[in-house]
Amino acid sequence: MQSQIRNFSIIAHIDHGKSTLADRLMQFTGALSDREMRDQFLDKMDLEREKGITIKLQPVRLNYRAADGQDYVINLIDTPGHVDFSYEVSRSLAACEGALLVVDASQGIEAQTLANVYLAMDLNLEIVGAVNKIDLPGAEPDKVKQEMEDVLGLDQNDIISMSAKLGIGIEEVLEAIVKYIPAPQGDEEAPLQALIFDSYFDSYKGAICYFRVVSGQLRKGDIIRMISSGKEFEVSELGVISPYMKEVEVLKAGEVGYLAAGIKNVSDTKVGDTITCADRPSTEPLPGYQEVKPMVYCGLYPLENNDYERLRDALDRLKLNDASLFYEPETSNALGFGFRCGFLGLLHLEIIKERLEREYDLSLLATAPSVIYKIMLTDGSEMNVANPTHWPDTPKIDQVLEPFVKASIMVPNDYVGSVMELCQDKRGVFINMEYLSTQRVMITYKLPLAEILYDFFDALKSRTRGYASLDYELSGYEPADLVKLDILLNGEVVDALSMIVHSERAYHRARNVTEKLRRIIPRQMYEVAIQASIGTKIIARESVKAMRKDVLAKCYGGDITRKKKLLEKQKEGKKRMKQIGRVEVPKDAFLTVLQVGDD
Amino acid sequence: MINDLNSRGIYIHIPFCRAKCGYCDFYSVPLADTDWLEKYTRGLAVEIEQRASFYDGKPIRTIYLGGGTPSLLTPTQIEKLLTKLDQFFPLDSDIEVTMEANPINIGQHYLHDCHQAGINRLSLGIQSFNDRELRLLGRLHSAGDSEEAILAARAAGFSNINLDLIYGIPGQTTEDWIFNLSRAVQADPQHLSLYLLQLEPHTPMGRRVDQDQLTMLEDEQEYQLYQISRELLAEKGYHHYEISNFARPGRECQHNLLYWQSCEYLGLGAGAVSFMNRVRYRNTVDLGRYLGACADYPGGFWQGEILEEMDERQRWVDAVLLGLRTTQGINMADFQRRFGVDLSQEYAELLNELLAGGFINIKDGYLHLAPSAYFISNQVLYRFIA
Repeated sequence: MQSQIRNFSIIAHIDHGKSTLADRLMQFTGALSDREMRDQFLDKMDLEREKGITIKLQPVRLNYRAADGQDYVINLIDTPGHVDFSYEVSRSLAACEGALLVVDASQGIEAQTLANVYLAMDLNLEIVGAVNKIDLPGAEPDKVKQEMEDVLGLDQNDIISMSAKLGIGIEEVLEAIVKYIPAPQGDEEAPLQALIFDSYFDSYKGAICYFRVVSGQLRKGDIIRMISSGKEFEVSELGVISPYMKEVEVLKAGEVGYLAAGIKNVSDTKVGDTITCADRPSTEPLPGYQEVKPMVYCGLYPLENNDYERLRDALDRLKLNDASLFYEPETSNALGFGFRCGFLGLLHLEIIKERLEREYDLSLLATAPSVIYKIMLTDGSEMNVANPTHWPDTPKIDQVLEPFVKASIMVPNDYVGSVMELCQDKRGVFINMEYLSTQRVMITYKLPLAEILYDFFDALKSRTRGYASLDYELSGYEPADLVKLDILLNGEVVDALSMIVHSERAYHRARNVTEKLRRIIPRQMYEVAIQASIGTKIIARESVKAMRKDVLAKCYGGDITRKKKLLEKQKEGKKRMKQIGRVEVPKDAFLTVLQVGDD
Repeated sequence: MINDLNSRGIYIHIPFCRAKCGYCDFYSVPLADTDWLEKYTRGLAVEIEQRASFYDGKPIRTIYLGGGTPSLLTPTQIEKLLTKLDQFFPLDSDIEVTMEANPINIGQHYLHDCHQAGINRLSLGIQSFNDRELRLLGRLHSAGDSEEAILAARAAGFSNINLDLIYGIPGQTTEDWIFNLSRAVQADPQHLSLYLLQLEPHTPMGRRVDQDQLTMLEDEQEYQLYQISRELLAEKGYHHYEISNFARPGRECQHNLLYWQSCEYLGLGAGAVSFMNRVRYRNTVDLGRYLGACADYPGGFWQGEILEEMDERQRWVDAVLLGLRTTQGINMADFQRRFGVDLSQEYAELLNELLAGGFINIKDGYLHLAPSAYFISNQVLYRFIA
């Protein structure tokens, strides 16, 4: 009975208590006994649990007997709480009729949260508001409720006060979901349309998709078809998550579940795609499907050259689980064989790199993150460049286009000046400023994506004592005056250190990077010349003086073994270095160099 | 150079000092009671007999009494040890017998008796001719004591004398160092060892540096002092034959050359290290256990520890690392005969790289460090480790 089903998402900023709330909902509805309970049950990765951030929770089905005496099935479908994954957010929301907005009682609404609420409103979702962490000393629930009313038009009297940690307000949340969020209204007899909102790879069952049946019904044994690719599979397992996987025979319109169908690759179960039945197919896909395209690229190289094959295997495996990960082989003169990898954003990059190192025991070197530039050549052709090494020679370039984002920054009004200064510094173009309340301001800027990649977020946080929050969306490509800055060590270009910069910033950046390299590169037997150039023109120069002293003054019979150990240690230390020509460069130099902002 | 690489040296460790110097990292204990010297000498005599019972008979080329402070021993005790060695080991007729001495409490009579007992080379721990520096180092003697000791040594009949000097002492200027060096050269010793002050963190001076109470010289200053020393001593006719050592031609320290030419040696006494059959072995450093082991003769000494047991490759790498400390370097043909390894092939790529950088030279069949690389020799040496 669809009237007894409620499908909802939680919209919350990282740290505003999403995982804890999910834990409490499961406990309260008896989905988990106290004995089975462990903190942040639905966090999928160790990495998430460890970092205390939840990128995305598993979906879960809760059975709840409401105050009206009736039994309801409540499906919780999570939204990723990070800007890198905004497409996935939109698909999760599309699978629901309502959203529970959770705001921290001391922090107030954050930019990312706001963006997601607007997304939910665009999809006509019913919004239930809740203020969390009311037990904490700095909590100002009334002020935050007022803000939610002012900014989002919610009635502050309907906003629930809760503390997920202490279990306060949990029942009110469940009651509000039942009362305010509409039941689904799909046609059970229509051809099957099911929306994939997440998938992952299981080494025994193949790709597992999480989906919401929008119309029709799905049975075990059905032949399903993915509308975007036309590929067909036989459903070998169908079930719900409550919160353990539990098989069922059929899932009908309005329901949420998972399926396995011997699918070898998660790229066949793309988020946003529509599943239909092969023998009575729906011709129409559900709206909103997009191919996810990487926004950020970087080179990943094994520190040990002979780990290249292991890196390839590891990427292959991660790709099984993450259709948005892109990679292709590339070679660097400086670093040897590696891969150019594409990511949804910097967090995605960081997660993948960390998983490769941790789960596959690889030691990796990452080059500077880069965006994709579109270059119009003088011969009339056009090329996309994601790796500065492939930047064409200046005479061949007619025009360069770079990706811009529309960035929304929410900040207490004391910091407006400082934030605007930062945006200006990053080549931002002011669009709008809006007072959300007497204290909070939303500033909108158009910014080059590349500028956000380096250290924008850190700079923003440090200038606002952590109070600012940021959201951005791609706004398109625009012409920009960009040049390729090369770094040379002892006269040789180190391709892995090349970067694309705005021509007006080139000198400043060149000085900054060469200076930084001078500090990072240890003294060696030779003087090391560090230069930065645009084309053949050297625009900055530093040098690391040759080492003067590295000697064992005494080495006699009684002590030779110990002295030899010192030399062996030196030999070991060399392994943490990447030899580029005659120069030994510490492996973290590649990233550290790029963390220099323009300050 | 040592011609017969089969010959061996004997090192005898005398682990007693009147007081420990602030920079010293060697094993020594303060001498509370001179009775210990007698007990220790008896212990050494026992060890000499015991070791001799399974010695293979190869000739002994050098004897070196080091410490600690060997000059705390009486001439009688020294004579007893040397006689014992002569009795049980095949000593060369022109054997070099060195004793280290502190320039305090060693008068002409004492030194004369030591010379008579068989010591024919004296190594004086002068360290500095500047009383401020001596106090900083925690030495008990003064510059005046040093001058007297040198005169006494010569009067006592020593014609092979080494002076140890330390440079890179906190606060030391170029002038200070040139003064020290000049005073040393005026005394006309046959041999000079110049040691850069390098502090282990657990020594009293090392701790003071850690706590910022003392500031070491900059690398550049230390390098300058080293360069000055090389120039000045070359001018005065001293041959720079190892990174830290200079000698009148023909007066190179044979015992130390044995080490650097990777010959085998026997170490006797508490904490002494031996190198035999690819093993470096250290006698127990515990004085009580050492003497107990001597009393429990036979078999007791082996409660020391194996520092290092080398395979064939490690053995010859060891020889490379040591050989490159000498300015003459490694005779590659001899090396191949000795270890069956052709260095020019084994390290072809590395040698080319180092040659191109000007860090080594290969001349007349010898592989050696370029003088410009002496002070950064570790950077060259570690590359030879597999």
